[in-house]
Amino acid sequence: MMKVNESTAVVILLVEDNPGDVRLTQESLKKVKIINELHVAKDGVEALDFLRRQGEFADAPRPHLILLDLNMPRMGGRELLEEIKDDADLKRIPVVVLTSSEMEEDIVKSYDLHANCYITKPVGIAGFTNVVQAIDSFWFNVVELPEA
Amino acid sequence: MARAAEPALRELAQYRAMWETVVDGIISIDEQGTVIALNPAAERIFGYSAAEVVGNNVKMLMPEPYHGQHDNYLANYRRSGEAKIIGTGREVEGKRKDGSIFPLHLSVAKMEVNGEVCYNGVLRDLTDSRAAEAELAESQRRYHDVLERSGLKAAQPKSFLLGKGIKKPAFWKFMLEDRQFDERHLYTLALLMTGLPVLVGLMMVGAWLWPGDALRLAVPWIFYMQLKTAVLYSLCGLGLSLVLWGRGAYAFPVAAFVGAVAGATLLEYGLGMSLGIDPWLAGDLVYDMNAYPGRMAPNTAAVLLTTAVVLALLASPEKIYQRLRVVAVDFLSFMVLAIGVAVLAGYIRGEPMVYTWGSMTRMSIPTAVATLVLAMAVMATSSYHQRMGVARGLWWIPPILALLVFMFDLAMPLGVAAGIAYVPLVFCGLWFRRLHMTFVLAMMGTLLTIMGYMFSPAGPYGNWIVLTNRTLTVGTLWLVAVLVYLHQRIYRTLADSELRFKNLYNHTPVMLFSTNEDNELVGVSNHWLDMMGYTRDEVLGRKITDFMSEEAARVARETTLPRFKAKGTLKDAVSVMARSDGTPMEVMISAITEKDQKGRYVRSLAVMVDTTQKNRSEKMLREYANKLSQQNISLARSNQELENFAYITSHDLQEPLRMVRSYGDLLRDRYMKALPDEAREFLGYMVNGAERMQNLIRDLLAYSRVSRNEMKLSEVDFASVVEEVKRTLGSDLTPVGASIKVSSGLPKVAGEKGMLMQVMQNLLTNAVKFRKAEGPLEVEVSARKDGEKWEFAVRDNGIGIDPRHGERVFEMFKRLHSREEYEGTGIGLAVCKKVVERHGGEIWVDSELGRGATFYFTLPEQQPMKEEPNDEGK
Repeated sequence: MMKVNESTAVVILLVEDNPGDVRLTQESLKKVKIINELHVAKDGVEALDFLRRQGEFADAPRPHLILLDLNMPRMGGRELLEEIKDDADLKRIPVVVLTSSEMEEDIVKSYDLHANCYITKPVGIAGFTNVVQAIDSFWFNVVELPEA
Repeated sequence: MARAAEPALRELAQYRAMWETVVDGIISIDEQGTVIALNPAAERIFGYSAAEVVGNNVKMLMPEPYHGQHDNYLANYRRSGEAKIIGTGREVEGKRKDGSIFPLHLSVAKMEVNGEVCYNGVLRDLTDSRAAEAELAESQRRYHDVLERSGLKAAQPKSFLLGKGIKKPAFWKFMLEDRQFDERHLYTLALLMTGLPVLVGLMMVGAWLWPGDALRLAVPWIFYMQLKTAVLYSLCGLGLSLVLWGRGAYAFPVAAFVGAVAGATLLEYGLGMSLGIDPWLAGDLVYDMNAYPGRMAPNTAAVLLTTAVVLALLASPEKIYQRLRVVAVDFLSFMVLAIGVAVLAGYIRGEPMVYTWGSMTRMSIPTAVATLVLAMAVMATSSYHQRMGVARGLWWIPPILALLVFMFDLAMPLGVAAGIAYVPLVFCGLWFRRLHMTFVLAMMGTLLTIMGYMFSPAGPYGNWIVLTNRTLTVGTLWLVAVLVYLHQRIYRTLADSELRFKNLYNHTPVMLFSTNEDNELVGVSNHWLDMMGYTRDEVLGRKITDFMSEEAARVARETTLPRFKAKGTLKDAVSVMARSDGTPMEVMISAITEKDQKGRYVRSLAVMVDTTQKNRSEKMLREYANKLSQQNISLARSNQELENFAYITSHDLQEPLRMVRSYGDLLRDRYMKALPDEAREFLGYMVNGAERMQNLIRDLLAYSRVSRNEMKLSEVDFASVVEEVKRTLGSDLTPVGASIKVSSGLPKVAGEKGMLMQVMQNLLTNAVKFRKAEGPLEVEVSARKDGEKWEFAVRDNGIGIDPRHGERVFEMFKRLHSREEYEGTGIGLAVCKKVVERHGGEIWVDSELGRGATFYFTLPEQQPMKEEPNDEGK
């Protein structure tokens, strides 16, 4: 059992191809009390490498949470989600789908692939910050996560 | 019932198709000449539309002289059955709508439909073929020239003469053709014949009036014919000429006068007294030892009286007792003939009784000759005038036969049974077209037999034997006459019906052909020949498969023909014929077999319909339909692509938009104070634009969702829909003080609740948005039943819409106001329209500028409508 407290840094993997969104996420996380360590992967392939500590990510930490965008080049969010949830080692890492898609089919598909939650990116900085903070407080203050 | 009518209908359809598609013009007229119908080809040929011609007299399509003659021609045909073109066909001229005159070939078939007679004329414009003929004739002439100059005595190959294009005779040639020639010939002959008695009579009158005695001393015997007789004979001839000339009315007084004089004379003989007319025109010489000087012989009087009656009959209006009159005229004219023949025979045999009839006056030899001439004139007149004529060229046989037999009768001692020799005379009836002629001849034989009895010298064996013989003879004559009549009648009916069939077969504007067991053509209709481009001689005796395309011939030989032989019928077999010029003709053939009593195959009767045109149009139609459905498919695809595009783009547009908006916000939040005023203003525009675009994308997504999403129908209570929408809009409604009245009794309908809510929401939002600046907003939602549908109305007291824009407000992105006046994307009503239409309803607006607007939409009460195919993958 891992109890996230203020002394331990929280590791978050953001899988996002849009630097603007990456930056927004970083900006939003700055305002959060919990010390966090945000890693970014530009697409699914890179994210898998990170998770499996392959190549340049040999020393990568195991993230406590994955923020996943759906539409990315090379390997998209859905494929990555499938890979993660099929991987016995990785499937316990909670995945938050954070995307601009409001499509019903995307939502359904994501949950079918065992996404832990699905959030549509709000427009406007205030909304976005709210969402990121909410994620943070929910997953790291409310939820009990497994030890690794 | 329906099934029984099916073949007839199909036939009708075939006929219809034939009527529409044949290249020949077809015009149907009734007995009066009124056009009943004409086909498209005839319309083309004459340049009239059917409506302009039908109901009018067909004369309108004819130039002079045909125009003027046609009524007479029809009337004459109705009267006498004598037709110039029925069953044959000839070249005539036609008049187009523009007045131009052109040559055409016309053949007419008579048809009887439910007892109504009508005539179908099949006509073909010969303008082109005339030109071709002229060209051909010219090249033929040159060919001859070349031949002659080259000194080659080339035998003209027959096929050259039979070549296409020159097979039709020129018009003047046609005039010399059999029938036409006969007609004129008969008329001239008849006129000449009636002229003869006039001539003979006038010559006698001349002789009588000749001054001096020289003539009388030279040829005294001609004066045996009295002046009175001569005058009366020439009058008779004149009367007949008048009848022929068509001035029958003038022949009446002539007949009356001649009849009166002759009748009076016979009366004098009968009563044995004088009525005082004897001296009249007696001439100055009386050669006879006559008790009554100047009186004509009884037989002469009988001839004149009979002739007078015939004349009166011929001159009487035609409609009266036509049939009876024809019989009477025939009987009487042959009676005249018999009397004349008998007198001649009497002179030849030296039997005074025959030419005196027991009186003191005899019919002289000149009178007897004149009588024969008169009899011929009467017969000629009646046969031309009544047009039911005697057999051509054979009419002289009965009188000669009668003369010979009567002479034979008189020559035989005691006249024993000589009358039996009249049997051949009665048989002559076989030659005549009029059925009763055999009775006429039997009567003539009877008359001659009686005269033979009366005038032959009585023998020593007593009259009873002779009388019995003659009675038996007469009986035999009439028996033979009856037999001949019966035979004639059966034969005639048969011949007539065969003729009719043949005419119909040949001239009906349908392609017919018949083959024997070896599939050789034994009969083809003219239309078949015309369509195929052959002459009859070229095709008869050849196999039908010779006239098919190679492939079709193979199919016919291997499959169709054997199956037809086995089955006995053929229905709508498809084949391809090859015309003489090599072009193919797609046809449909139906046929039946004709079998003899033993069930053996005799021949086939086949109908062929040209389906080339039809097939072509069908093919075109099919191609068109294909193209259309393909277009539909591609249209549907592009529609769907468009919707997908709208969806995907709006979706993908969100992403960059979010960037603009977010960083705009970030900029404003963090650096607002540091920015100069102008930058702040710019930033404001930027953020505002991003917001608008966001709304636009949101609405666009909503719109495309309406058509993309499957509808999950359920019973929707509209009252609750309105309530929920009111609640959703609550925050928007309150500040403007809107009162939304919902009439009770909003129904339950079948639909997709989410979508219907969207409709209500959009309409109410619109009402709020376009409210008047002053006064409270009032909205009323109501519904009423309209047949199977519910009609909903959302009425407001807002600014209204100019009716000119009534329909356009439902178009996508259509806005009537500037953005500064009213916010909006112009999609809301388009969404409403789409939702309502997907539910099978309609939406429209009723409004006036400044007077509020009422939006109506209908929804079906039940939802029987099927979910439209929505095959984009989910």
